[in-house]
Amino acid sequence: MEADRLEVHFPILSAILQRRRGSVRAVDGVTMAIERGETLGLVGESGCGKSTLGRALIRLREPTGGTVRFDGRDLAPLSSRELRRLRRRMQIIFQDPYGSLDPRMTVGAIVAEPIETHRLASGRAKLERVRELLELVGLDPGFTARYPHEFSGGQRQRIGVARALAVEPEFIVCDEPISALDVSIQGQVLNLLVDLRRELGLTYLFIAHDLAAVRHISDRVGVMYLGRLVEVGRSSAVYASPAHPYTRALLSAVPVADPAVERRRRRVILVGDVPSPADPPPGCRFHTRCWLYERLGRPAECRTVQPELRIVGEGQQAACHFAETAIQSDVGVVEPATA
Amino acid sequence: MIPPSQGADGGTVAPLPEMVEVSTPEGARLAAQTVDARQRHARKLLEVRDLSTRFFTPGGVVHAVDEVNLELDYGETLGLVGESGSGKSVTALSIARLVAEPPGRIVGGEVIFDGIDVLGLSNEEMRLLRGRRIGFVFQDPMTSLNPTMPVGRQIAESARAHLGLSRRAAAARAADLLATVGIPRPKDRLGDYPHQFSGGMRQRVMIAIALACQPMLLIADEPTTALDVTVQAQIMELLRSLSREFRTAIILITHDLGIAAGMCQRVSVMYAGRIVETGLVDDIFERPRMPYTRALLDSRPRVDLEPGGRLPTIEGFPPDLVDPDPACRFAPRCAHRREVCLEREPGMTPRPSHGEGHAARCWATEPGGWIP
Repeated sequence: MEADRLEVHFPILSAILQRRRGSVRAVDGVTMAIERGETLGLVGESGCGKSTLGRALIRLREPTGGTVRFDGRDLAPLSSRELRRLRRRMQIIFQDPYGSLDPRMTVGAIVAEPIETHRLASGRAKLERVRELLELVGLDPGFTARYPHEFSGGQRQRIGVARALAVEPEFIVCDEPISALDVSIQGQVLNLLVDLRRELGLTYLFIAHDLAAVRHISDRVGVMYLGRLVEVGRSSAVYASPAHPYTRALLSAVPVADPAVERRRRRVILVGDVPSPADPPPGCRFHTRCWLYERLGRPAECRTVQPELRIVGEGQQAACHFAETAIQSDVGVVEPATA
Repeated sequence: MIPPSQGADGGTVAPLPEMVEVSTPEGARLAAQTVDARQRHARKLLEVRDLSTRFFTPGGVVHAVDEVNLELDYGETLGLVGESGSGKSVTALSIARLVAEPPGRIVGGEVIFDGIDVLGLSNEEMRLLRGRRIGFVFQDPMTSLNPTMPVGRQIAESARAHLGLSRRAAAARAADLLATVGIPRPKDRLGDYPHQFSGGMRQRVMIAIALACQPMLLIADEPTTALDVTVQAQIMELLRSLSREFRTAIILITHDLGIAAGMCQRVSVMYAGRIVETGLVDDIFERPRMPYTRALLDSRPRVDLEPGGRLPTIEGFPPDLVDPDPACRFAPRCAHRREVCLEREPGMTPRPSHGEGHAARCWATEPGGWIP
């Protein structure tokens, strides 16, 4: 999966005449690649465009600019029929295990639906496949006649996973798949996703605001801010030596379940809220909240020149004019606990 | 800013005589009771003894909160940790007598707040106590703020109703409070409506309303669950500074052990309507004596550690709280369970060798148990 300068802008229409007044730049020039078999984690605050990016990659959203290639093929010129065939290989798992399943359909019908849509099996073979899928995600195959409301949140998320797997996809966008679940259930679903990846050779884009879960599951991680990818790299590098001041601020905000670590940490508390993506700040979009910008005496470059992603370390890219300074800082990184 | 003063117990609390309106008979009784009690003992701000709250539903009687015990010192921050349905929110609502009745009812126990027997108060006295002493902050500020009223008026009304301030004084106080909770240009924002604030700013407004009457206790029920992690850090920093500056005691209800680790002096863990472990924050995290606490800690990936393979998980689900069995409620999911765990429920027993005030509800970690 590759994206090149991908853009998704939503028009803002005036209330009465429906004239275009401007646009929300949800995704604004993102270039990235996901290798077959790897898991790319995507983190960022709400409204940063991570979900929109995930949807644009599998064409649930029409990009307004840039290209998406899947398995080397540009998706843009494809006919709707060709796109539909290709879409079978790309699936999505949603955040809300309550809202994403039709309450009037039985679990069997929910999981069978994509099999029917793509004419993969029918009759006895279809039923057999449904039972197989339920078993694969750790549900009792005898549950096919039950309705979603009879299941807990974690079980419903498993049903969502079974539905996504029904068409034997290669690439799955996991859009906040565990954030609606209880702590003890989150681990179960994370483990399931890891097991399925190994057994079926899946490729994931794992979108979440939970940086700990993303670290756990991802080979590489991308950090988004206001529609731009500000840092991307191997998880071990990004978490151990973040090169973008925003990544450092994000990491420093994540609570750690260890009182001793909590007392020692150096936090940067970001001031204010994320600016509107309809009117992003000029230059580096993060400069209005950047601690490093303040520390360096507000260099003009940050206000005027939009930084591009560049290589800052082995397998690590960041879009910051002063990434080398950021990477040297001790802000946001938690010293490993000493035994 | 709210002027704090030194309380009789050594903690800094708001001055007492002015706190309660003595002009009403209820207020006078409340004031008299408070002073008496504080002269008598008043070591703790809050003592909850064997509190039980049930919900009488068509499906049966739900034992949502079952013989819960809690203690809170003046100015202390206590974490009440548990998963959804564990009873932590109902416990907090019961303390403030805010459980909807019916279907809910407090069926037993005692709540002593600043020397006052809360469950013995009349509704009018209770309303006074809540207004003057206990502030609430809920998860979703949008449902607790009035969408049709400017936030300045919402804060001022609370201050007027409970502190008897004049309109002008209340408006000034509203601006002060917005400044206290870190809202930029507070005077300009008094006339704004809740929808004109972002999620984090709305939660700050909620906290300002809760602080309007200088409460001695702030109950914060998952105050940051709906917020981004950077905004969560801002709100937590705000709560920390309130606790430091005004010595406001806080009960912080959260499912996030990380938040409890960074915020609280003591932690009580709830499971299926019961407190299953309580102790100082370091003891709870370093040497938990209840397998559920251990499992909760282990089942979350940590942002500061290299991932180490499969996550240990807690299989199964919490039990149905309609007529629970007289057994350890965690036993069906517990990796250490033995026959006795399914036959008899363990009591909360002190574990003094594992820290001051440490207590747990587990047969396996009792003296002579099978977990050393």
